[in-house]
Amino acid sequence: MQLRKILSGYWAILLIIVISGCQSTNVEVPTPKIELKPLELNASTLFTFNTQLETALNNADLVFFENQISTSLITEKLTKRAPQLFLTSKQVHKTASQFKNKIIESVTLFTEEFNWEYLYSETFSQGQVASYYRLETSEGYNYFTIWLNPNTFQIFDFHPVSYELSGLNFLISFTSLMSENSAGDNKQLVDDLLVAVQSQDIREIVKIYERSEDTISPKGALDDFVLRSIGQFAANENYTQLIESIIGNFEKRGKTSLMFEGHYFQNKNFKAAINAVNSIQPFALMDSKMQSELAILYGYDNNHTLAAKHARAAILSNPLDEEAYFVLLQVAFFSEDHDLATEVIDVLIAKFDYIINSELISSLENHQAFLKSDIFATWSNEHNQT
Amino acid sequence: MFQFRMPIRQTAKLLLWGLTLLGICLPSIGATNVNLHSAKVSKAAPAPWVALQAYQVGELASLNSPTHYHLVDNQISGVKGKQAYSRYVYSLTDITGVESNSDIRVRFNPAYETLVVHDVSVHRNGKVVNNFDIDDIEIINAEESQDKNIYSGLVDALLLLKGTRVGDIIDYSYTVIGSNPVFGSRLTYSTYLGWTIPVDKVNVIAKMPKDRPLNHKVFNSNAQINTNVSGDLLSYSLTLTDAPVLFEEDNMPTSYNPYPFVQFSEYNDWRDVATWANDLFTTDYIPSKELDAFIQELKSLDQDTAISQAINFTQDQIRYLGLELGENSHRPHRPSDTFENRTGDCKDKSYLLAFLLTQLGIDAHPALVSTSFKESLNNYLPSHSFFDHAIVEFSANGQRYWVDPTITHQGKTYQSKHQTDYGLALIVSPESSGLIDATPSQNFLSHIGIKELILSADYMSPVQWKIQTKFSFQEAEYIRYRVKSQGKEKLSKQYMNYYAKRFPNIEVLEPLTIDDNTTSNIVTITEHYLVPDFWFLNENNSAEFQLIGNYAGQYVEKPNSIKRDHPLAIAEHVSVDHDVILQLPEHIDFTSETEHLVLEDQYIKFISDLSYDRRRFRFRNQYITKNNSVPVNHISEHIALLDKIQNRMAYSNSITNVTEEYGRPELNKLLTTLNSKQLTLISNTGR
Repeated sequence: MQLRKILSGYWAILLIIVISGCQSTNVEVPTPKIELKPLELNASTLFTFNTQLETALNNADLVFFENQISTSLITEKLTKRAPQLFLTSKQVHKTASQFKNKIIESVTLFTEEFNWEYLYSETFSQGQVASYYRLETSEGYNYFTIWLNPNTFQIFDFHPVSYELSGLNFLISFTSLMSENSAGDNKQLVDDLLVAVQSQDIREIVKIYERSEDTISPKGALDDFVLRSIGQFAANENYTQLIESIIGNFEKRGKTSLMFEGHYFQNKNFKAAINAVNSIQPFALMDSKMQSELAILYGYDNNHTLAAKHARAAILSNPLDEEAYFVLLQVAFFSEDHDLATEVIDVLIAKFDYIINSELISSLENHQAFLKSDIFATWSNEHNQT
Repeated sequence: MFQFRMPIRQTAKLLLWGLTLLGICLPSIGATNVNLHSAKVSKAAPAPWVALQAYQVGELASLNSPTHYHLVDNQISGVKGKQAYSRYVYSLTDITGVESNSDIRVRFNPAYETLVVHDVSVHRNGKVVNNFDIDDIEIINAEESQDKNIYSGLVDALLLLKGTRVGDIIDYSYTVIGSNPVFGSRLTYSTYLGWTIPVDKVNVIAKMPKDRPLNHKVFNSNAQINTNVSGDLLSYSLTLTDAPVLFEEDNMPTSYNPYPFVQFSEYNDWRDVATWANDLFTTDYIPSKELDAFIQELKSLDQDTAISQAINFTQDQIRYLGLELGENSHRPHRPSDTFENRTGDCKDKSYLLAFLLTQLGIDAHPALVSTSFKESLNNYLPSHSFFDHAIVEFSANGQRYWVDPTITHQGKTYQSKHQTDYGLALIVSPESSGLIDATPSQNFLSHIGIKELILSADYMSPVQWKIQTKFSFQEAEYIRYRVKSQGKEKLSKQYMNYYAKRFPNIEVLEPLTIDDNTTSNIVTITEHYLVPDFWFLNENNSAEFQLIGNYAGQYVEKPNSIKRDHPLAIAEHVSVDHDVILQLPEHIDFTSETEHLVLEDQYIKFISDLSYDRRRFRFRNQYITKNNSVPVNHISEHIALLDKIQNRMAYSNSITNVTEEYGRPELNKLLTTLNSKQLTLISNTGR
């Protein structure tokens, strides 16, 4: 049982922001479709704003969303964080506008497929608020942070949890990278890299990335660049081989990414998968879905103690998350703790109105021992369940 | 050093009395051994320069209880060296007075002072009923600071009066002759003019050669000093009858002295004092291979690292030990000696550190400060007596730093070390011309940030309580010291027992962790608990809860003395952020509780917030000091503000109809099982 897949490919579109922002390439972008009447902003608190935003996104109301992204705020942030990168105010404003457009384009692609769930917000110094969201589909979950001004609720940045850098910081870092590597062999490497992305040549991207290992810096920007690239090309037939190469490169430097979790899981390298999950930001890590993910991974790794610990944490994080109880049930089956299993089943029945039958139980792994156990037999008799 | 025989509960200003005899680094330091038998005590009549004072005694019934002071007479002469005469006359009017005031104790330093006792008489019904003999005096060690590794050489001459009774009048007088040669011939002297008990007559006389006039100043009193010239003698005199009684109020600023007193000083300005100090810190450099090698090692590092290492060395590798006898009460040991011995007091360490930094090309100097008088030093006449501590001032990368080499467990880089605000300092250098502002421009604010997250799966089961506390700068240094000296286990138990007062059945869910970042000087302590008693189900089937954000409460307590004649102290440079989040099992709309309250005046600022986010109800209190004291005329409004703030330390509410939830008992049972497994895991790992 694996709860989720990494859904990070779409964020590679942010890569295009860098290209557009710095080299003025022409890139076709889809036009946002307006179908619903846009929400008016009527929020006095972060909570009410984010619930409005959540509603708007789930209703594909992109006008509301677009209205909340502030080009002037993005301009202000770019100017403050990287004054050295822009020669004129026109340049920075243009970059800010393009950044905003690319964000909208990215979100547009998601709104039809994903369910947005607002988790909560956190206020940081320098007057910045991080509002945390989870994206859900039938296939899995992902998380990202929307950065806001706390007074106006205007949005100026996005940060998918799989990447080290937020969109704006990636834009700045990669632009700095191009600026610092603007001569000689390094310039050629960077140029080749961008061309490879344009032509969607994932193999070439990885080759160049590996050649750049010891020469190009800052390394964080390059790592983010390649992660965003491979995310974009997840359907590529060479994906597995290529991601292995990138993972090897990351591992040499003691780094990991949530993007690698699926690959590790498929290769039954559960410890590495656990490390990949643990590398994400605390708000996502402590969410019930990620705690459930860890519970399952530890279960597969035969560490039943930690599996139970994280399954418990998932329930505490969201007691109304039914999935968390099924995860705990799975963990109980892995460890053959049949008493625990019956207690979980009791909750599923009483709290969530499930009808528990052998078909449902059989959908979980390692269920046979439970079905044959005396404990289940006793429980069945008491509950008259079959 | 003499000591009052009256029950006066003085503040640190008692230091005024014997400051001339106290060394820097409290008390004076020296290198000579003290032999009690060598203490010179003799009996003789007062010197001819002493002007004997008359006094009156009323009927016993009209006298104050338990002791009535008729006369406090202090006279000083600088004519033939320093001679300080004192006389006390008091009646024992109650058995309590008999018990507490029948012993006479005079403190002095035999390394450079002798004690001449003139008279100890017990008067009863008009007659002297005792027979004082010099052999009745016992000399005992007076090492009050030896627990701080400071040895001063001070002794007490102790005389136990026998057979004293209610109604007896005690009259004793003595002169302490001599002064610490480290002060040279400059005379400084201070004495109180008022106490917490009444005194019928207070007399002060100072006599000096005509060519050595004294500057003088009276504080907190309208008393006037009369100056008289007679031949070659200058005489300064002051007499007070019915000396004003001071009611001592709590929480007065440490630099504030409410007591009336008079100060004399031969120094004309602080430049004179600086010249004296500079002479002390000028010693011959004696080459030391080890010290030279250490300096070379520092020079091989980049400058910032070298500065940090030099400071860390003097803080952590030189044991604090004050052998403060004789001239070494104020004269530091050579840097090479301190380095070799690996011991030293504040001036030794400061001298060594300033030397090391200078060798690195850094502009650095020792600086004398007063831990008591701080920024109020400018109010007083210039004198060497006020300085009880030495630190180091230096400049690096365009910033000025004030570093204390006696403090341990600080951040490891000089940029991250907490800098104490001593207000004013006297730089020890030939160019020094007066007191300068020693307020640090960075790292003087102590911050504590507490984040609590309470996770609740329902409204009856134990909640999971995570507490993360971040200590910065001075707070980080204090907690680091506690961890190193007490150990993590003891600290963990102390913390748990603190919470157990509120939640008696609390359990540790995960071991306490300590993350100590010595580079940024931040210590983060994280605790995890299981709390069964968080929810309270009342008779209406509502689950009551309370959130407490009261860390700042200790800073907003009202003083005992509300009606005050003196300013109120505020803990300096404090910043607290106490943030409590309760994560509920489901969305319950608490948005109506949202509140943002700001309570402030010129002296403190308090912000209290209630807010609701998805399933998260937040109660946050922030506190910051803006000033270090409240003047008398603003106290009543300030106290009213403190009352309002105190009412914001906790928030209570309840969730209704909780017993109607589906699956409540089943979930409770499951959580009990899971919690039990988690607790078993903790106990099995032995942590």
